[in-house]
Amino acid sequence: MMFDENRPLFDDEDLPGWLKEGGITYRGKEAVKFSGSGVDFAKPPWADVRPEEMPPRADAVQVPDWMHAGEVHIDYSDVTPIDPQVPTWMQIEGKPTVTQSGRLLPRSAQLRPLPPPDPEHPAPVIPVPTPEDAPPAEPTVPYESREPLPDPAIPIPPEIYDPIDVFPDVQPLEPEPEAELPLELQGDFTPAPADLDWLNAPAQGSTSDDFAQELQFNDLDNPETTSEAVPDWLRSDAPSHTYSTPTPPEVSMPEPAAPLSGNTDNDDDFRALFDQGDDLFEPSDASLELSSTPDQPDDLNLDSLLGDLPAAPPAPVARPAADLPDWMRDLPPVQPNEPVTDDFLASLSEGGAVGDLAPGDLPDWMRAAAPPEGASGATDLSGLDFLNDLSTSEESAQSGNVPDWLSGVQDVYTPDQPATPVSPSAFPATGIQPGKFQPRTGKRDTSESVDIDALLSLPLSSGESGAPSPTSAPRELTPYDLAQIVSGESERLDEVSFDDTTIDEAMGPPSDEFKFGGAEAFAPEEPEAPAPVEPTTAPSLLNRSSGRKLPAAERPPERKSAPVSPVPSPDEATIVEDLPDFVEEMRPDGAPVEMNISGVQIDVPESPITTLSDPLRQLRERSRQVGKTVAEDDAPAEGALAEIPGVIAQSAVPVSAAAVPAQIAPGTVLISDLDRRRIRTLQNLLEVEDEAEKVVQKARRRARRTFRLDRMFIAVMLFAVISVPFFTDVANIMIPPNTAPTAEQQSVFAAMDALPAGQPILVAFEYSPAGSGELDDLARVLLRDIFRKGAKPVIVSTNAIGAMHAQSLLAVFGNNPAELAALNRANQPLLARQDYYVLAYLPAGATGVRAILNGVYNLTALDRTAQFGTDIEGKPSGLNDAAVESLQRAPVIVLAETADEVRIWAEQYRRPGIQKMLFAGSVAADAAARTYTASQPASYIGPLVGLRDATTYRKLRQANGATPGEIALLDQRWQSTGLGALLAGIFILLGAAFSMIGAIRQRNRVKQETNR
Amino acid sequence: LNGQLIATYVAAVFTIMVFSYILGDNFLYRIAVHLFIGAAAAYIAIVSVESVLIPWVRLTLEGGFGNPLFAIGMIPILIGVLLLFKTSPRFSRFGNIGLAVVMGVGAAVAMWGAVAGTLIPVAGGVARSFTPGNAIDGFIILFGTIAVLVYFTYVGRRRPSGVVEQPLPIRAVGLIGRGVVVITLGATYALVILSALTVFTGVLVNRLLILRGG
Repeated sequence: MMFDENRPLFDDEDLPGWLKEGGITYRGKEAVKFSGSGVDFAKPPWADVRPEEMPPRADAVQVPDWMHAGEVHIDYSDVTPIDPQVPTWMQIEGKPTVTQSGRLLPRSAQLRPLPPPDPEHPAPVIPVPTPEDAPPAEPTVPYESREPLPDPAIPIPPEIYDPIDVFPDVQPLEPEPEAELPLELQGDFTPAPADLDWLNAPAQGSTSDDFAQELQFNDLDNPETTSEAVPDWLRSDAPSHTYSTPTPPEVSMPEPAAPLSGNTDNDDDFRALFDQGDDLFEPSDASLELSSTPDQPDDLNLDSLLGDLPAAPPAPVARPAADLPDWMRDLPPVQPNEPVTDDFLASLSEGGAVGDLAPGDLPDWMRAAAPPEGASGATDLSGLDFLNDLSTSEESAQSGNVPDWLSGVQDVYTPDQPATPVSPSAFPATGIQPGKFQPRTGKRDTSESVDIDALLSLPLSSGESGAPSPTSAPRELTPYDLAQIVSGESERLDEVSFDDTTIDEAMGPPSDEFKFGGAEAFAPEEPEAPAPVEPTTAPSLLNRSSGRKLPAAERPPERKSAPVSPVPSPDEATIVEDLPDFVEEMRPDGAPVEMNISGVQIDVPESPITTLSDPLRQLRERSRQVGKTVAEDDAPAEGALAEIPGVIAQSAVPVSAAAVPAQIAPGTVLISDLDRRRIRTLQNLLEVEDEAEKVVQKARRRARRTFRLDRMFIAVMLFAVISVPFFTDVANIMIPPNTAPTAEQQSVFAAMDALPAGQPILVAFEYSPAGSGELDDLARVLLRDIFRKGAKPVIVSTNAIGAMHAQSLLAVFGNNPAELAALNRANQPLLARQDYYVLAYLPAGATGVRAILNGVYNLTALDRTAQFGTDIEGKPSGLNDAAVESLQRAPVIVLAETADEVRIWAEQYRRPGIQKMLFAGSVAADAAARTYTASQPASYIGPLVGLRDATTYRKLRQANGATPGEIALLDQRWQSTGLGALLAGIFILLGAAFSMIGAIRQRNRVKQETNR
Repeated sequence: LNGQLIATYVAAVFTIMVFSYILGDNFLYRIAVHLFIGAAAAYIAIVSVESVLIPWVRLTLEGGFGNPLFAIGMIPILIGVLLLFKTSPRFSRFGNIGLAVVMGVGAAVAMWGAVAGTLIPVAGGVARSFTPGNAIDGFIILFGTIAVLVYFTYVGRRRPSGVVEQPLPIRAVGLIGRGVVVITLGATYALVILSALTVFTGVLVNRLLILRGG
């Protein structure tokens, strides 16, 4: 019977009934056609459970014991139930809070690059199995590699393997040596001794967990347990063969290394792990020398790879009810390695009736679907149609009783075929002639995930008997089968599209001493001809040519160097597709990866790569390859993009696409028009930036050394106009100051004339040397009058520089012979602390003035002593209390440069009955001083303003003591200042006019543009 | 050559160096400015220590606890020490105490002086200026003051269109107040220029023209 190509690979009719009952079908629950059981399969088994009968929400997810290495507590407080009719532990909406302690199983989860979390599968439970008690894993096919492959005989166009051609220009890259792989990748796929241990550890528990484990064929290397581990219904499902069952090998295993703990933050631990993994695959490792010939059982023992196996299965452990899911609690207790359901099915398939079974062998849920008492034979299994097809009798395998998908197999494995070993090349160990078994020729159905046909078509041993069975007795998977699967010799599994990275990195380096039995396992007469395993790697995602399976002779030699490892990494082994849904959701690789960044622990959920779609997976692989191709030495050494790897190299010889030479010399860079435009754009951008930088620097230099003509013209004009009066009288066009005293001047004259001899008078020098050009003359005329009256000026200042300037001015004034002569004290210079007092400067501005007031009026004794005790040189001032007290009877002269000094003295030096204050300041302070004097004429006198009043004062009161040159100089300064003010006024007016004209023109322009 | 003449020549040279700023920012100008600023700062430091701190310490702290002014003398010393903590970010909060004393006393003194020495006396003087012979000046002063106060009024009414407008009287008076402000600032600017020109002439006479021997 030929295989029907039009029939879908996965048919719900082929599924076991218990899966259909649970609604686990390929086409969904609605598509289940299961009659005669009286069960509504449209609903899950728990659908009829009322909410009040549901178990309370558990604090921890009920997982089998083998999943309990560490403690995982899940808090469902934040989880929103979906359906009240569904048990609480199955309702996962959102992500519960997981608290985990203990070891994490997959160390690769700590090292592997983190895939994005899968929002559609929020893993509700994160099992943490340990290497000791973790379930045996499928040692053959990584879980990522479940894609069916096209038939190797038919070449497949590369386009099929590039559904999304994201990088059309990227050339396929050869895989790099494993030694050059990143650390993460090495860690991902480097097995460790501990992995071998837990792979070989017997499974504990029973029921569905055991069944799921048995589906993985994990315990196949143990002949004692394999026959029971394989489900009976699966044994009967296997085709018959005439081969002799190879003896399970026994291999001396070196002492396994310490168990791994993937949850480590120590780099040394990682190094140690990698070192151990490398040692395992060293060619010189004698422990890996295997042979599968029956005569040399010691040489062929997969235990050497998988670790020591306990001689007997462990005693059954009573599983607490809390460890089981609720829906499993109703199942009867079973013993390890005695699958209830499977035995039951096996007995059914061997012709037994349901009623012959022991009461404990039949689950309740199957009892309801069982045929009535007395019914026998396959035809009686109305509720279990698929068991009819799984009959182990030879008759049952005839046409009509055998499923279509097994018919082709039975055509090949007829009992009449001799048990002659066949060369693997001519007849693979699977016993399938490639030409006769071609379920999918040239097709690539990506919707199919697992090639169950390929798995089921593997030859099974008869189990304990060890004798070849001519019938369709189930046969366990042998190490050779595993090796075939791993090495890719299996034609069926070779069609599985392995993930390139996974295969290359999961498999260790080839070892010369790593010898599989291969065909010799089935050919005892030729043990000396072990067939070397030719490693097969999956087609690279970047290599289109590798998308199809080439014959061994045509394979590229570099592909042969791909490492082969018979043992998958633990994280891969724990993922099987046939596990129940809740187990799949508990994939260890779904455990969040703990990352410690600067003391902050972050849990990053990890999802298997299989959750990615094919295009995304290919894109991922391509991205990784592209990143590797960018070498550091590709970075340009100079230029704006220096030391940036991967930039577009500047073409030394720009070649236009329109003028591509017929013969391209080596090293010539050809660029397309688009690339050329892009390069030009980048160059333009860089040129613009450089140009902008030059402009900025030039502007800075220009601003620093700007020779502005307008500024120079105004300066020169002012300097000339101001200087002219000092050289000629032609420019004396300004009206000279009044010779007749004003009212303000007369008040000052009266106050000065009222000074008694020897009267100390407070004079505030509130101007710095910068204002000396305006106020020095005014200070001199006032000091001259003070000295003439025999009064003693007491100089104070809130400006330290002002006090210094006063000291300097008085020193010059007191030693000027002309001044001394005018004072009638020739050769008697004025002495500090005797004829005048320059006190220390008054800190804190207004507060200092207030302190002076307190000292003068003795409001605080300390202020008087502190302010009048010492002079500016730090020496005792010589003022006594009587002198200070007498200051109350004399006016205060304030020489202020700015309005602030006027205001401070007017505000702070106030007291009822105080003597008047004389303001003598600059022109800038004239407005403020005049405001105070005008508003309070009883308190203030003056003011005297700058050069004008100094000239008037000099002419009116000190003309007899002044030389003609001094008077003339004052007049010249007056004329000079007047001319300068006139010119400055003209310039200001012109500037204002120009500015106004410019503003009007600009406004008109804006208006015109707006109107337009 | 005597010291006075040397000082005169040095002053002339530095004056020319400062005037060189007319040609732009240059090296000579910067040297002169830096010298003046540095000398002034050094002089202020010397004067502060020599004429303020040391006399205060001698007055109050000399003699220790036997000095009746010791406790009072320690107050400014303590405040000064607190201010030194401002140099350390860690202990700057202690410096805030000293700063609070300085600022509080200064503000209180200035405010009291402004009210008692400027606002009340000037307001009274303006009120007294309303005399038959000085009515115009008094009116100008009063109206100018009110106009300026109105100009700095930022209260208006929001129209339905969302535009905030002031009433027309306020806008009109405010416009006059703005004119008063402009005139005042212009006059002040003119006075400053005149003062600067006076200083310039004094510099010419006392720094440059003196070199000709006149």
